[in-house]
Amino acid sequence: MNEALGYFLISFLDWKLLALTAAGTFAGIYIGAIPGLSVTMAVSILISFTFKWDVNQALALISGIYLGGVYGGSRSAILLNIPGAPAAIATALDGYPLAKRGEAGAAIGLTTVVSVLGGFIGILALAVAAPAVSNFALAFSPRDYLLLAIWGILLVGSLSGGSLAKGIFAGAFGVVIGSVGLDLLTAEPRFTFGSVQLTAGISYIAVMIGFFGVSEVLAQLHELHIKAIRQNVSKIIPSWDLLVKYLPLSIRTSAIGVFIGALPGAGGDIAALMAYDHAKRTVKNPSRPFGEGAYEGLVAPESANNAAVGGAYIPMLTLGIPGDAVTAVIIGALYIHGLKPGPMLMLETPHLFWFTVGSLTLANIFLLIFGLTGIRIFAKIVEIPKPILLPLILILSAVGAYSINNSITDVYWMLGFGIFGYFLKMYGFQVGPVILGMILGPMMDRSYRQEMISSQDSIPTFLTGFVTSPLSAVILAALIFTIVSQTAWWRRLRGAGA
Amino acid sequence: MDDTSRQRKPGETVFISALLMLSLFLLWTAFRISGFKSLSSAGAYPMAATATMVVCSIIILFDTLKKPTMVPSAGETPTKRFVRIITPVMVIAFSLAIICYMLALEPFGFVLSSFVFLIISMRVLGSTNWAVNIGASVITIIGIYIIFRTAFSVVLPQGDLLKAWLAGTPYLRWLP
Repeated sequence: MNEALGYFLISFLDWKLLALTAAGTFAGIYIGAIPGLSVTMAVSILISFTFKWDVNQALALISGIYLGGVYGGSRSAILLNIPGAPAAIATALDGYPLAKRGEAGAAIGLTTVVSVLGGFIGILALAVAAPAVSNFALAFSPRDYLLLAIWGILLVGSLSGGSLAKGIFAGAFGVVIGSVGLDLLTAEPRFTFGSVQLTAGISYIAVMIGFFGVSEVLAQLHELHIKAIRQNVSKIIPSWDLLVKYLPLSIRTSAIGVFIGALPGAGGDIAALMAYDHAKRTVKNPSRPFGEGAYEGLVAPESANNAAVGGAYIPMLTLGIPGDAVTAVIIGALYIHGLKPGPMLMLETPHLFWFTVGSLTLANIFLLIFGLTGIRIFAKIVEIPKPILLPLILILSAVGAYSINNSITDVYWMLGFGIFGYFLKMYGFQVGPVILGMILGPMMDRSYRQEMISSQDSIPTFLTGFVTSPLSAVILAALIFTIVSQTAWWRRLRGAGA
Repeated sequence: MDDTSRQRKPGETVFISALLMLSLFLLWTAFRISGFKSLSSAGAYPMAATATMVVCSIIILFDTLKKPTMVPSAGETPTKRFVRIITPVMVIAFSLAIICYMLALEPFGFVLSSFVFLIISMRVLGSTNWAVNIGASVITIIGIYIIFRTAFSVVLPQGDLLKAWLAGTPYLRWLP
């Protein structure tokens, strides 16, 4: 217990880690708030710079950026009616009407406090649940990991709004990119086309930066003409009465956020929308009608999306399965530092787990400080015109890709995948599953082959295991339900039942 | 961006068909790794992944063909519609600028090529204030150069061609 507390406090006591967490949170708030910059993009680019650092330093910075970024999206949603991040879409519904009524300061203040509260509930859930989940996960067989990984990709593909077939295609494509190079067991070349360079595989950081950096920059060119209308900000610190009034709703929706965030593939955006829906259904007398500046419409999504951060860390650290696109990228960062997220991570390196919990807690404290200060300067910075912002992102992306191996080849990969990603986005494909497929691909490959070898290459024996093991059967049922729930037949059935 | 998710976008059928072709090619490549030698061979898992891509792209192609095509504006050719909705001139111009920038990185170095890229692209994207463009470019490049050389120990491209050219010019020998 004392050891855990010691690891927890590392980032509080080391001035360098303290400064990095503060810098990460501060940068995260701005990155999350500036329309066109996403947390996933920022973390993808940053990972390439931090892989030479000590793992604690990298984790401290990333924790700050993640928490700050999820919160930061709300600022531009309230002030400019442009959600800085997908998790802030629901926030704009009532946040901007509040700003138009001259209550932007109160809206930002309340948002900050409930975000911090949600963040703490998420971190508490992580600290309590992760060790238990990790112990449980020790009983998982390779078959269960294979099923979990497939389920994660399916969930990201289906819940993010696109068609399921497109989501599965994107995931399978990611798996293929992750297979490029020499086979880990037999050293046979796979998808190398005779090229020596390809035997080392394709750097997934270059692919990530391409998909989340370059393609996003190109997609943003469609919206160059959109002008933000800024609102005045005054009276930021919320009153005690207001906080007490909305505390029960904040706690309820934080619990929703933790649960949704902990589901593989479902992140803060879905958590926020579900929490908003929960508030609409359960709050009988909102301060104003929802959509016209109800404080409840701010409290619910903002509590939930920050609570989802702690929730998303649970499957990431205990199972090695990302909760959303950002945690998929963070898993990539852990691999770069020689760590393998999963149940063994908790057993072999418990210090890392408690350090992460400590860093997130510290970042949450910084979130409260930075969230309630400097809002007027902030309002100016988030208005950086896109003609200036987009080329700067591009330069940072290029430097990020170059610095992976000090090689221009990675920059070309980034550009190629960036342009390809742009067309995928234009035609309604999600790029999140590609990254998930790439990162989870090697684990799925290993799990599949371990299971197949233990089944002596017999398909009936291999398949029987999926239904005879209770755990595998439950995950398989969830996986099948995910597919069925996306079919027209299911939608018709639900429509008839409603 | 236009909300056209329920309508067939210009070029969508061609793009999905290209994805199907790519999937078939990758399936063939996966098959050539180890054929049907064994279900746990090096090629079995890539074959499963590429076969999934093939099946999905066929489903997506059928779904796409079922969608109604977008109603064209009067006198608009398919190419013009494709350019308007999918690849506006700005996207094409900026993509070309990115390609030129990346090709220029090694021969001309990070500092010069980034400066030229930033100035030109900011202007092309509509930022007409030259002082702001130059100021933002200079601050960014100096910032990146200092931070990345010191904090991240990244040696950014120095510019082979530029260095050779400068080395051959007597008046500029003192430059790095």
